[in-house]
Amino acid sequence: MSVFQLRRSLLYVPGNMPSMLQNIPIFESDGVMIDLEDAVPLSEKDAARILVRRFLENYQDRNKEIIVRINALDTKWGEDDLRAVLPALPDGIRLPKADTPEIVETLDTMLTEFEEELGLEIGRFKILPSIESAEGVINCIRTAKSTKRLIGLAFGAEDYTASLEIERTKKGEELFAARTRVVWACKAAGIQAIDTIFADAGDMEGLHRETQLIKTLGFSGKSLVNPRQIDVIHEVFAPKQEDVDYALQVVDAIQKAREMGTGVISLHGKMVDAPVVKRAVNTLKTAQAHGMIDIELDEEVIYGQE
Amino acid sequence: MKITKSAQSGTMQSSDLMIFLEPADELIIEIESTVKQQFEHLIRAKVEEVLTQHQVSCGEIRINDRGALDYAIVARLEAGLKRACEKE
Repeated sequence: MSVFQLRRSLLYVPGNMPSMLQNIPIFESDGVMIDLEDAVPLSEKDAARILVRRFLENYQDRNKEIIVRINALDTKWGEDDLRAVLPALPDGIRLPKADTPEIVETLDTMLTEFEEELGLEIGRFKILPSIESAEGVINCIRTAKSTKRLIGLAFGAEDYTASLEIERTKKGEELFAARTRVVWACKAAGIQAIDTIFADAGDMEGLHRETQLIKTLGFSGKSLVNPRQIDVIHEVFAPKQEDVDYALQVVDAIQKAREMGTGVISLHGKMVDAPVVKRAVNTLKTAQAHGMIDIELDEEVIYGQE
Repeated sequence: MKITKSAQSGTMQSSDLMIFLEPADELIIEIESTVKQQFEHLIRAKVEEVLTQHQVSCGEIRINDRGALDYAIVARLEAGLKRACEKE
């Protein structure tokens, strides 16, 4: 997998439904999160993890990132979920109720033990912790740096609003502070910020609005509950051609500036300096991941030599 | 493994199957399926394979199949056996 993995859309798939599991290869999301937690009734926890394991063993030509949401580690199912599914080699584990960095560290240790037992490279299994309570939000800045296995933090608004004893609204004002803090934590740690689900699968306009909002805040992707939501999310996250064109011009301009021995230059009357270049490079990396451009982004040319 | 008590596993959703297991002195496998005509022999072969793997030689196993693929048949039978063979 490339260093810059697109995770715009992570689709939940119920772990106890063969009809949904079998569709995983054809879903066009960047990844799926096979759910052993909330989508599985208590009486079926034992059966769901066996089904998921057998499905994954059978799904050899993986064409997207596979994450399994296990039950929380303080339940009686969490560890058995790991024992059942890890031999079938999912890419990562979504950890519910990651309220403290210590909870993530516990999973980190468990994954290391399983990797040793299975003869796998240490660090193979990634972790995506769910930040879904007031405590989780307060601690997320430390949680984001708790282990090298993290691919990001995933904000979970349904449980979060329940922990605050408030309603979740479509406008999402009540989530603003928490979302911002999760983004800070992720950016400071250099990992991806994944936003919460949008539960109303019939409201595409609302989904579009919310996705636009969370992209503006700095999230790199979103969890989703229905495959019909994938296209809307991808559309919002796709870089606009004009932004890509401008980013290419910025990189070109800064290279010319360096040749002239300066670190700042004017482009269409606007100043181009280091932060502008950094944003342009981010745009180009995203465009590259979307297959819109194919250029070599030479760090030295972009940032100059010492 | 020995089937010591009644148990069931699976669901009646499409692409799934429901399995009922009962203790018995001999091995009885009954299969109902939406695709019985074409696939009964393949379902039976898969079921027998899993039973052999788990060294289950007797018990009554009734299957109501809704077009499940092999991995689901294996998984549901394994879950059913785990439940039916559990120690009290």
